[in-house]
Amino acid sequence: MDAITRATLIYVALLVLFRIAGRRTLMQMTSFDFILLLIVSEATQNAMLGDDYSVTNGLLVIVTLIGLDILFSHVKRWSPGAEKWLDGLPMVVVDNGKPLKDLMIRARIDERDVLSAAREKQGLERMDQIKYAVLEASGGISIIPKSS
Amino acid sequence: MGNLHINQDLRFQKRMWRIERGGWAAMALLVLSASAGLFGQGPVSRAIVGDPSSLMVDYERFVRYGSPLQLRVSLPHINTPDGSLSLKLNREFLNRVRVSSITPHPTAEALLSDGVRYDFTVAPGEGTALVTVHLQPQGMGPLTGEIRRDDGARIALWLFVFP
Repeated sequence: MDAITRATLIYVALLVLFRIAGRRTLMQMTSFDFILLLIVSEATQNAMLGDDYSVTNGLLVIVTLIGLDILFSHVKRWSPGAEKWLDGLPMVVVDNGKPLKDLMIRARIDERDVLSAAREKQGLERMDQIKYAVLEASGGISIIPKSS
Repeated sequence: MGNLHINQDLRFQKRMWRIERGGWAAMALLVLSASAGLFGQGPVSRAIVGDPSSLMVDYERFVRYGSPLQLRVSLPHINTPDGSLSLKLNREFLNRVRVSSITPHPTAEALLSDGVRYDFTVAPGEGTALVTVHLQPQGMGPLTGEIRRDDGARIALWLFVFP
């Protein structure tokens, strides 16, 4: 019982925290973000396992976490509203080569992020070659080039 | 948005951003209150209650489940011929904590109908005796207790055990 409560609490708390932190927080995956991710997992480990290091407890925690993940994926499929709240929605940040500055500031990305994604994914050189740039729900930026 | 098939919802997005900002404020508040000691180990948490002339306890009001806590009890030595001094903890409190140790060791422990009495011997001519009770909370939530001296001086304790 205890293992299940602990795992559920941590799962929900992390879900809320990362949602509040914003989608860009751990999506860039710079080396420091990677370290941050490791530290977060270290910090949650003890809270989830308590002082019970048995295989039973470990398995219960893992089963609970995976179960919750499956449950939430079903909830999201049934209810688009829930998906909106849990995952967020994609958003256009560059429209026909024109950066939508106001939205970009509030989403905490800038033109450099968009241009870097454009170079990486499409080999584009300038903003005016971008038809659309979309900040995806996952936090990544996808680029649709103008057809030449 | 042109011919881009996308389920964008700027109204929702703006609402989400407001919630996000609110969440940041809540996180900042959490960190601030934690530094003040709302979750233990800080000025808000430290409690010094009682009267230095009869019985006084110094303890942390906010503790966490699974971590040890101490009650530092000051007992001014009111002269008794044999130098004996005693301190009682009530049963409801003892039911919800585990007493890991008491320093110095009591010379005797006696079970009472409403708790446990711990006896100490104080060297003649000494002033205030300091007894530290090391405890481990066994449950979560509010925790109340009472410490009593033999001559009737008593202190109510209030603690909160965070999960």
